[in-house]
Amino acid sequence: MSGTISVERSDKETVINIKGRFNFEMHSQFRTAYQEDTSKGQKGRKFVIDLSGTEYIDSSALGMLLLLREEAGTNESDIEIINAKPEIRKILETANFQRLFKIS
Amino acid sequence: MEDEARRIAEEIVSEYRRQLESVRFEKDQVKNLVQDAIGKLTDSFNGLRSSSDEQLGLVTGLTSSMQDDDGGEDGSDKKINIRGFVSETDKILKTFVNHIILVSRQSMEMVHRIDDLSSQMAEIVELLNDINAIAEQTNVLSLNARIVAARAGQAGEAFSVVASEVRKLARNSHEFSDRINGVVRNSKKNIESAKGIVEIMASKDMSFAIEAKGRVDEMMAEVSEIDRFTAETIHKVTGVADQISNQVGVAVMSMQFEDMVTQLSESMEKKIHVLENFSQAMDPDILFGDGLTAVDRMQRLEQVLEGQRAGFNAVDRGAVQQSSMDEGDIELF
Repeated sequence: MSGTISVERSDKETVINIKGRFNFEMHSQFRTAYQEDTSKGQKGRKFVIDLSGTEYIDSSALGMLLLLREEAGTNESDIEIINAKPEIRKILETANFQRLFKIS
Repeated sequence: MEDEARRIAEEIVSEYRRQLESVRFEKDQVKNLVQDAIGKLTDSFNGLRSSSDEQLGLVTGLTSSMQDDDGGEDGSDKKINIRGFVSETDKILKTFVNHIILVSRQSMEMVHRIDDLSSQMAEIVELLNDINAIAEQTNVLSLNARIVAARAGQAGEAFSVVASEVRKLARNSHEFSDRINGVVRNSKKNIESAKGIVEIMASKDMSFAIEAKGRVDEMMAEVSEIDRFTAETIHKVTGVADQISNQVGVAVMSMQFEDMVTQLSESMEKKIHVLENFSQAMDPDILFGDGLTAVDRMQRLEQVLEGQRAGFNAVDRGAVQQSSMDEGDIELF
């Protein structure tokens, strides 16, 4: 029912790939995926959230993305959301996320 | 015989005057009818023009009250209109969506804290296991002490008492740690149920927001279409009002023939006046007067004819020359 998360790390970039349903049940996986980078207090790291395999997104996922943004340091880091399907992109736009994230 | 002829001549003059009088009466009637009709037509056309202007004002006012955008957000007397209503709905929807997301964000933060709490609970359980191990070791130690004390016989009696007290303490501490473990287990259950509540708070399906947004966008598009149509209609109505105004202008200008009618009527009056003098030709004195020769009579009649011709021509020269208004240069009124 819930989705899976895979992470790819390079020197400057962490790509978090979310497949299936991005909902409350993913909170622990999602937190673990970025905590390794944010807990070090390292700033200026780029996060890429790849939603190409995401089928569904609810408000808790939006809340998680906002928390990532805060914990990653809003000023120095930039967070990019890529490959969102049209329906999911609509949700992100309705939530005005294009002001807080790069959506492409 | 001569008297009879004189009487007929007088009758001819009187009949001639009567008929002229009838012509004059009808001429005056025509003049009055035309003047009256022109007055009414002019009033009516001017009324038409002002009614058309009023109608345009009403239509413009009606539509501008529908379209007026609210000047400021705090304007208490701002008019309610469709566009304002839709954009207000859009604002409320955005606020609502923002609120949901904010609640979700805070809920997720709370979930993180709860998860942290859970792992701290797990640490407590580990520490309790350590305490149990210590208690177990202490228990073994007290058992060994009792064996050693028994071997020592009477001399170890007191030491045996201490050993059994130590054993009691070990048992107590085991018991305490079990009780703490029980409390921790209950706490874990409570924490899990709290997490369940937070999950409900955090998880809202967002499709409602998209549908609502879609509907608001549709309404906006419809309002724009209505605005476009209204503007187009106003434009047409203004055009029609201009046409009416122009046509009324032409009609009012055409009413200038009243002047011509008046002038022609005056000229007719003068001609009738001249014609009245024509009756001199029937003067019984000329026709039948004593002591006049036939030559005299002829000369007198020629004089009358000449005078009449000159009088009539004089009137004709002063009369209106044009036969249509396009040729005339009458001042506009």
